[in-house]
Amino acid sequence: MGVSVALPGAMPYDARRGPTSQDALEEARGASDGDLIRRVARRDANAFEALYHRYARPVFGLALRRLGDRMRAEDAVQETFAAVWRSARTYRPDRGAGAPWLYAVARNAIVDRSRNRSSDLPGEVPDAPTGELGPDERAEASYVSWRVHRALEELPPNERDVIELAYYGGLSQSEVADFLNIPLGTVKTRTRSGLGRLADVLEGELR
Amino acid sequence: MRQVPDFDDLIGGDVPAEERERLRRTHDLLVQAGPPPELSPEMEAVPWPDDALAPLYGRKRKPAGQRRLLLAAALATAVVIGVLLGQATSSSPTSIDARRAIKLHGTELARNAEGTLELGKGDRHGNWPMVLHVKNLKKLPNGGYYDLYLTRNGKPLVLCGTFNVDGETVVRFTAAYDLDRFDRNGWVVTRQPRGHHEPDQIVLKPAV
Repeated sequence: MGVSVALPGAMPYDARRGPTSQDALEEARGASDGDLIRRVARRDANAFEALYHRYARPVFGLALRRLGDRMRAEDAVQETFAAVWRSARTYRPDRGAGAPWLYAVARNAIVDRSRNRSSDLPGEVPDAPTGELGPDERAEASYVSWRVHRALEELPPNERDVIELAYYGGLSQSEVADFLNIPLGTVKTRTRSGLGRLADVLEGELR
Repeated sequence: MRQVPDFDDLIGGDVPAEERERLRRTHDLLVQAGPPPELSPEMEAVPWPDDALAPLYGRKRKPAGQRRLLLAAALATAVVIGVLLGQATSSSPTSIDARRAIKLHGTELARNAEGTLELGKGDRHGNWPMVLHVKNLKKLPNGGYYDLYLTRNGKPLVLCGTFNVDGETVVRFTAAYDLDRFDRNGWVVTRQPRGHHEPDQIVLKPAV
């Protein structure tokens, strides 16, 4: 039997929002990236929160690949969203969708963090060893991961669970069914539906 | 090496060719992208920028080096305090003066699971010590974990802590909330599989 000590968790939502703002948050979750960025420019906290939940993992993934260190990557995530808050006013919808703009903001924050790392730790090996992917290929791979991880956040939780368990959890369809305690047919239905929804998001330009 | 799921097995044979090709491209992208990283529990909270909501809700994170130093100092302090407390008393960290014990039983997601939440006396600052005993909860793969939530109107509302378990464990938590604002005996345990952040998979809830 293990024994551990846990810390208190997050603050209650209603401690920082009015009684109707849960609806506002739900509404924000359905908005496009571009709309959310424009609302962040107007200092809309619900939009900022929705954007964070949508992009925290893609930004963290990008930072982790670039920096190779969870703590620095976490700092880069925080810097990215601080930059989003500061510079949302510079977003121009006529120049493109929200996702590429956010990608650029994240990449800049991560590059800054990477430069700091270089000055902190002189002589450390570069994060792309010779013989592996070149800069262009790495950028392409990073952007694919960014788009896919972002698209996964669009899925309803029940579809995202079966997709992630199948693709990244190493579970067979039967094992997913057993793990989630749902019929195998439901797993297949959700998988197919989830893949279709992902295809819709990925084939269209991310809004 | 990560096992790639078989596309044909996932999709079945009754999909029109055009749709099949579309799903295949998505499948390939999922494989190419690799798994999204797991966020630490700390990262689940929105990092409000200092100039936004910091006075009320945010906190500026220390630089990484400073945080490591603080963490090391905190750990050292905790060890010293632990040793001193251990010498001063024979009680275990999971032993509290329970004022209330709430029986929890497994939901359909974990039928055999059971648990008890012991609630101690709150201190003058409003911190409530709790000890959670759970049994028959299986280890979640790939970084999944369990959460303890307080509920209002039956819905998980605020997080009281996070834990891992493989069968049976005892975990101490502290709730820093005004318990009168939540359901009486309103504690539930949710499971959070990898990548799942909503508290909608309740595995333990109070016995009626």
